[in-house]
Amino acid sequence: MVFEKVKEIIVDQLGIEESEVALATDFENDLKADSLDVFQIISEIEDELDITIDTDQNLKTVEDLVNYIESLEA
Amino acid sequence: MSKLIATGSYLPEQLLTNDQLIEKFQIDSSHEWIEQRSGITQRHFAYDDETTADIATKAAKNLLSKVDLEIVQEIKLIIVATMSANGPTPSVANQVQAALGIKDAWGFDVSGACSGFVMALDIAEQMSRSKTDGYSLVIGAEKMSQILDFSDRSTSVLFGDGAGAVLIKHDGQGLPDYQSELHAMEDEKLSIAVNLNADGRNVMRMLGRDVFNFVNRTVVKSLENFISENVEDFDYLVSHQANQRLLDIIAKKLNISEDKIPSNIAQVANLSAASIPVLLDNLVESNKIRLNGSQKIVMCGFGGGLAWGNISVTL
Repeated sequence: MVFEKVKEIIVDQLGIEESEVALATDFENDLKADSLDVFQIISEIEDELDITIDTDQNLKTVEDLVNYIESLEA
Repeated sequence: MSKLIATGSYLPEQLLTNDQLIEKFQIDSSHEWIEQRSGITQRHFAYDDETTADIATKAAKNLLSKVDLEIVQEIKLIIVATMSANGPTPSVANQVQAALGIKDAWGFDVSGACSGFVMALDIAEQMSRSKTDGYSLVIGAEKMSQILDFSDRSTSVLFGDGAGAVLIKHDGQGLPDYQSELHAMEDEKLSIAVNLNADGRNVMRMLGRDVFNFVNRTVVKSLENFISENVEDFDYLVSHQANQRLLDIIAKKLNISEDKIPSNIAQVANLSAASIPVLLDNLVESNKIRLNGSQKIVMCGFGGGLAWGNISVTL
């Protein structure tokens, strides 16, 4: 569920295909997303899921982000 | 009503493209990185012997070249918004007055970082309500290059030098349809700050994620509320030019068409308090803003403080 929501937001923010987003997808290397792209994605996720994502978390891949969100919800 | 009758601007002679900046200061960056993240392709830097007061004066002279000469001695108030003055006193405003030879005026500087111009304009507008003659000269002027740490690639590539000026004719009432809201809050993490570095220079530092969150959450929401409460429709949003990507976010979140949010950041970079008045002058010079009382303009400043402010006015 979390991955699906995160994928939806990434697809919307970056204007890419769903097929480009998997758990192992790296924001910078695979999606060519820069820091501002990641900030926007995180901001949308925070708004959608009503959570706060710690600035200092090392979120390099989609899986990193999904795992972090799931740890907050646990 | 009081009236904003003229604008002016000045950009220092030294033009540096991204590649030239990188080469000159040995910055670990690239043109592609800078342009992609900020929209900036070039900036103007003053030489060492050109002070913030010089830059402000030249913008004022540019403005005064467009009005009757007699007006110069009728300027009663000079307010300069700047975060890069060379020293605390004499103020940049005092120095501008002296340089222009204005005999009967007073003035002061406003240190409001990137919100400085909307603060200065708001003060001048309020003061114009009690005056039935004379003019107020409001300037945003910055020499950001003197407070940049060129070993910090996250900030040194973002800023430029320049100044913009507006002239308000007093008429005992405020500017037409004028509304404003100014805000500030604690910058807990000092996400936008000028501090002493190891070399003993005061230099700019910014925390990217926190600045983004400030703009994305606080500034955009404030602007959205301000527009919905005060402005039925507007011709242009003249926003502080912090970053093209942030302007795009503002446009998207507020559902504003691109042509209503003009931008010159590609050519001049982030001019801090000079950002809004330089863009305003560009729009006047290109006849997009005609200063004939027919257009509703919204201005939005935001930045260090943390501070932000919105103005709507008919120009």
